[in-house]
Amino acid sequence: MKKLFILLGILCLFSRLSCIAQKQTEIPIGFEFYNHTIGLPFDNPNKKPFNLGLAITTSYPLLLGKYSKITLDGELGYFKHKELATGININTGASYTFTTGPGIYFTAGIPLGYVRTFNAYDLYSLNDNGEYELTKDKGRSSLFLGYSLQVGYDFRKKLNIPFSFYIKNEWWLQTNYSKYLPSLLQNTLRIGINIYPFKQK
Amino acid sequence: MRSQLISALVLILSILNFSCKKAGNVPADLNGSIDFEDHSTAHPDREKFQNILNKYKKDGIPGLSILVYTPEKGMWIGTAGYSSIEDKIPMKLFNVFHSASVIKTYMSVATLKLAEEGKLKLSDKIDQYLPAEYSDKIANAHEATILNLLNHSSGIPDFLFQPSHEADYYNNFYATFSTGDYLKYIYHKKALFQVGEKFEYCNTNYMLLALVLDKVYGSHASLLTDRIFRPYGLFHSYYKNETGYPAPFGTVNTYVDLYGDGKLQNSSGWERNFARNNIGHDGMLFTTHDCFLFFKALFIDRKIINEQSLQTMLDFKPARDPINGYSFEGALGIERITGPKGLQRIYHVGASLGGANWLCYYPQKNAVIVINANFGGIIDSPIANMFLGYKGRGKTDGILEALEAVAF
Repeated sequence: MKKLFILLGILCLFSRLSCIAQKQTEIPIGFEFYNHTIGLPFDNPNKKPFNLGLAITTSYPLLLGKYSKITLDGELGYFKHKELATGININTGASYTFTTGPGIYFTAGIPLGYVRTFNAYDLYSLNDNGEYELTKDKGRSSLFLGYSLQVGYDFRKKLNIPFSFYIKNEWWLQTNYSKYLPSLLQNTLRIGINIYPFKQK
Repeated sequence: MRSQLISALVLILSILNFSCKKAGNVPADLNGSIDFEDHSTAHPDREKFQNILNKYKKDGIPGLSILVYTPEKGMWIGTAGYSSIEDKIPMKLFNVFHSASVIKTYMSVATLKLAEEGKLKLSDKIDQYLPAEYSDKIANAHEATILNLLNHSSGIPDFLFQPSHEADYYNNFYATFSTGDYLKYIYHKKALFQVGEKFEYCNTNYMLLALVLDKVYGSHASLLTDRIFRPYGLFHSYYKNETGYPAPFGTVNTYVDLYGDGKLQNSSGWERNFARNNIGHDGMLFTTHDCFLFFKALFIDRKIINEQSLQTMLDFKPARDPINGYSFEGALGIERITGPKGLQRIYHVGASLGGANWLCYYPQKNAVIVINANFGGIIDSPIANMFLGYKGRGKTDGILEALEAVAF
């Protein structure tokens, strides 16, 4: 819970900045579908088996240039790793995006977030009589920090359609995971779309 | 509109599927028999031993089986806990446990048997037996000898604890790995040290040893069956060739405290897959009585390998610095702890995601203690500390010390 408050504090800090910049047209709402795996940085992000992940994302431009921008990002996500855990995450972070004239863009970001995971298997705990019994899994809290690399196409540039699609590799170091393994390294390969709901005034 | 929204919500919740967890348990055998004489009910220390078992079961070890043999008082064997905590099936003497690393002692003895038969020399370089790809891509593989593998002095890196392997293993505990797949994790990795420089426990040594024995004997699994299991009556020891492997009749469900917080989950499928994938350093299964038969034949009756081979096997070298008056030494597939009062324990310990084992021989007492349990001793957890926690590790007294205090 303490970790969640720390994260909310960071979000509040950034929200002041977001009030300053009124660049609503650049705010996307993104939907991502991904494979969630365990892997080292720059590891193959598409290992088997497929573990479903879903995310809703957004970002706010803190600095906006003709071809590049720095954004404050937000994500609400869900994943179900078949052997380890089901997780829900909320994260923020910052990204730098460079967009070419035709609309191809490249983004590099640093996500920072909170994840709560629920074990994939039934858990048993010891009762007062020294017998194991099925126990309710209330989940475990962790923070994570990572990187994301994204390439996409923005249809607004040439076709003036408020839509973009992309593929993204996002990697997290989740900590504290367990006594034995302090950190768990998670790798996601995502396909996503952005829609831009705010029209230019 | 409202019903459509509700339908959409139900659909989303069913896709997200938060609550549906896997049970993980596999069917456990209820009734089995034993084929040895059990006079444990007449043993003078029976109540003390059973109380120790019950204490550790109550403290959280899901199921365990213990055998204590001393020349003066004979054998006591007993069990506590469950072979399946989901179905509350009591642990019995016929139950079969995963060996984890204890197989290394069997592998060492089998290798020494072949050396006695003149089929190999311990001084042989391993590259003459290994495929060139392995020798060329694994550090020290051209310099190391069979002896260096046996006494963990090869300096070859451990594939098991390579971060890339750990990540792949955690990603899919049911993945199939060939020996080649495992060895690729250490291709072109730096050697841990120069060959022969020191003792450093490493699982790759015994995986490579299995390949060497495959080359010499045809199959290292058959070697264990032909030279150890069958001749010495180990009819409830299983490794690759035996019926039902990797889950022969009586195999326990296994459990692991993955987060180290005292909560267990079933790891039977993971453990069985690990046994299936791995060679030489892990992957055997046995009953507690079969473990005793092996150590009795090896150390008490001294009939598996000759005296010279046994001396070679027990050529102990310092393994790590002494702690709290305990000294630690390693030899060929076996280790030795000498306690502050001089009590020597010649042993191999096992710890995996579903197994925890102690096989101990006490040369000053000519005694044997075997402990097998069905939980993952490799994960740092309260029950792992209970099981493995000898003073020399800086932790509390464990179950083995409690048994030694009664037995000796």
